[in-house]
Amino acid sequence: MPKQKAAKIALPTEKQLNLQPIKQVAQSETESETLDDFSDINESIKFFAPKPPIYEDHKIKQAKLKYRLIATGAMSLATLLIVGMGHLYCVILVIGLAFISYKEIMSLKRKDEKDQMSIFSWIDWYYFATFTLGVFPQILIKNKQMKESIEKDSILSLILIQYHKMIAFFCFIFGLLMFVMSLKRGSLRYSFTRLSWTLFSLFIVFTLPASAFYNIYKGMFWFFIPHAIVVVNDSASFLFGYFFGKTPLIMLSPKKTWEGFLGGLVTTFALTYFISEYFAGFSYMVCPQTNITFAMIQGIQCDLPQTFMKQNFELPFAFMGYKHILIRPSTIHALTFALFATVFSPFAGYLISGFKRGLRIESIGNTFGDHGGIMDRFERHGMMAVFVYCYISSIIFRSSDAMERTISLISTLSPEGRIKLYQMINSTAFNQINALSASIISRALQ
Amino acid sequence: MIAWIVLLNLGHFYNSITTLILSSICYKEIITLSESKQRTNLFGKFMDWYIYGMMIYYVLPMNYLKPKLVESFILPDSFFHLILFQYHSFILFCLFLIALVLFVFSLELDKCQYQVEKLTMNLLGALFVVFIPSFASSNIYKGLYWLLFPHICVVTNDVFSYTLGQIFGRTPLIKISPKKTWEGFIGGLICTYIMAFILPIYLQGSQQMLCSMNEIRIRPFAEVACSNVELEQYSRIISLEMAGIQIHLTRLQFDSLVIATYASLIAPFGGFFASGVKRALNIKDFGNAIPGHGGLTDRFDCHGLMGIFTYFYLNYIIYKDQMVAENLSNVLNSMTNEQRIALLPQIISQIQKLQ
Repeated sequence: MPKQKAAKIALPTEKQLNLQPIKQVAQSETESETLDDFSDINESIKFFAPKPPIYEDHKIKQAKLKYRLIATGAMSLATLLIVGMGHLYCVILVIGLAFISYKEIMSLKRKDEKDQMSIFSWIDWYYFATFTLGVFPQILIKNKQMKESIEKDSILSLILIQYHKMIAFFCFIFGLLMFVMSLKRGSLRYSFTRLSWTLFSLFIVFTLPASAFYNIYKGMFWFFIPHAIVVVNDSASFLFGYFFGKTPLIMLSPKKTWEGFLGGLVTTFALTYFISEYFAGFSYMVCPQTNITFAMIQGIQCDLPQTFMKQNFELPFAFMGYKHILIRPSTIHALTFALFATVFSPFAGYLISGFKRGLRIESIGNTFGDHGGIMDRFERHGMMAVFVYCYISSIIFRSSDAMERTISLISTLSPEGRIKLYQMINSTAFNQINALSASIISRALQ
Repeated sequence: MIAWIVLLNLGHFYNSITTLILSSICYKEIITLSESKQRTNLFGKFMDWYIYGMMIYYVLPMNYLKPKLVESFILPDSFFHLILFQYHSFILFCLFLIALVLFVFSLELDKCQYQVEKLTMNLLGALFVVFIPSFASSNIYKGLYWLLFPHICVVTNDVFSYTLGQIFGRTPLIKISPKKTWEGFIGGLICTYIMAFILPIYLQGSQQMLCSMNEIRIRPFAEVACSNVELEQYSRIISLEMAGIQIHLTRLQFDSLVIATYASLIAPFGGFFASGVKRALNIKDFGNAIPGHGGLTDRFDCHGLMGIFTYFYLNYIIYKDQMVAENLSNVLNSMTNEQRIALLPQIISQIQKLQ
């Protein structure tokens, strides 16, 4: 057989082909060009449409589970320890967390080259001090010991109690003045963005702890239970999502699932009932604290407030043959908190995810190494604290707050006003106090 | 000009409403500013006005519809009373919650940055344009003078610092606005002082200007009358000794001088702030409500800071006892009868302790 030499076929090299990479066109760009008028509706419909399930590598999932378990366990133990130590230590914990989260948020927008020449290196902390001045007396006035130790008509009393709001306002305006004086033609946009960022984050970083302080001093129950609910909900929905998770929940956070949500809901409600029933029996949890003491692990004695006593409630419908239910009102409040924690507080988390996507950053801060900073973990707790503050101040503690406020208002009266008030009260008969007398008292001062 | 005079005479309630309308127009200008080339869909517009509504709800019981004013209109335990006063902060939080949920649902992956920036700008705009000027409205009920005079101060300061700057101007004042000069600044201050010296003498005895109003009267051009005790308080003479010269000022002149100081020294920075914002956004005017002069925000940028200073000055320094009494009566009215009876011995012991 004649050996035929295989003809050598010269394959073209890459250079000869002149290959060019295919340009990746973003999906959204093409869609918005074609469907001009309906692109908005389409986007919103896309949110509700079922999405393909997310498959994560099993090993990564396992590592995450391990990390989550360890982190949650460690943080819970630490929190339990601090809760046991005393009210003031919880306050210090909250202050520390707020401080760190403020630093993290500030570090997002800081560009160090531009800061050297301008005032931004210190205006952040100036505004921090201003807001502290604005919020600080709220903690002070809560307890009577410190308030009585401030002398009447001393400078401290003037600043902190009498002319407090005015002085805080002037400090704020002074900061604005300094800001305007320092504006330069070239970096205007950066200055304004920086200022609004500072003010915004300060607002968030201060309202959350202020609410938490209020809650703590009304009784450890109102601080411990809501945050325990959030932790339980987080962990339960994570565990349910880990084992059963299939259908994604929301476009912003692709890792949350409907199974996790519903499983977390049921678990949270069940556990809340038991936890709040159990802890309402301890007077340490339940009593409002009016002193600032550094003493650790000290008990408090007080009469059991009415919200914590078991009462008979009549159900509007017969449920499995039971018409009455014996339950503490505090448990009902705790179940409301649980509802809020499962349904609404994840939205704070989604908002932060939205922010992160908007700013194209991975995580806010790196306190926890790779897993993100304080703000990532604690935004749900912050929103919970604000909700609990609004709830208990409007619904539960409305009357006792009114009494406290009346007494503190009277103490800010000038001497002539006090004399007038005293004369007015002495001249009206005690037993005839009715609705009119309140307005009479105030009109007498005018 | 005639419009201003008519407006002043209309009555306290209508001036208060005018403040509200003007701040709404300013807010609309800010909304149109924060839109960019990406079209906002209908939901975005809804969010803008929702934020406005939330801010108005927050401000309403504080400044526009104070409890004392609406005593005769809104009875306690009525629906409006519950919404406006009793559960105010709780309802505000629920509104905020709804806003949060709706905003999160509306975030689209490719427009995230734009939406977040827009929301922040609208929020801050609402704060500066709706929240801060609303304090001017609560000043009206202490006397029309406290609406008229601060704004006249700001206008005088503007006009005189501009003219004096044209005549004498040499050293520039601030990097942002190259047309303002130190000479104009100080000259404006002196002219405003002179005006603040003269004007109160004119209006000292005017009942219409100085009387405080305690209820909402819908009838326009109503007469304002009040007891002489209030007017006398403004005529008290304060003697100051400065550099060996004794000056006798009436209380009203003294207050007017303080307000004039603030108007000349600090209120112009509101204008600088607004012009800085305009330069940062590369726009010439905020809107075109006034042809040739730009929008309303251009006109009223200095007045906002003025209103809130007047509020603090009136409530904390002049009428401090009245403010405390008002707060007291608000708090007392929200308690039930048994609580008031229980509170009385505590009040008395508190007063005895303080004396």
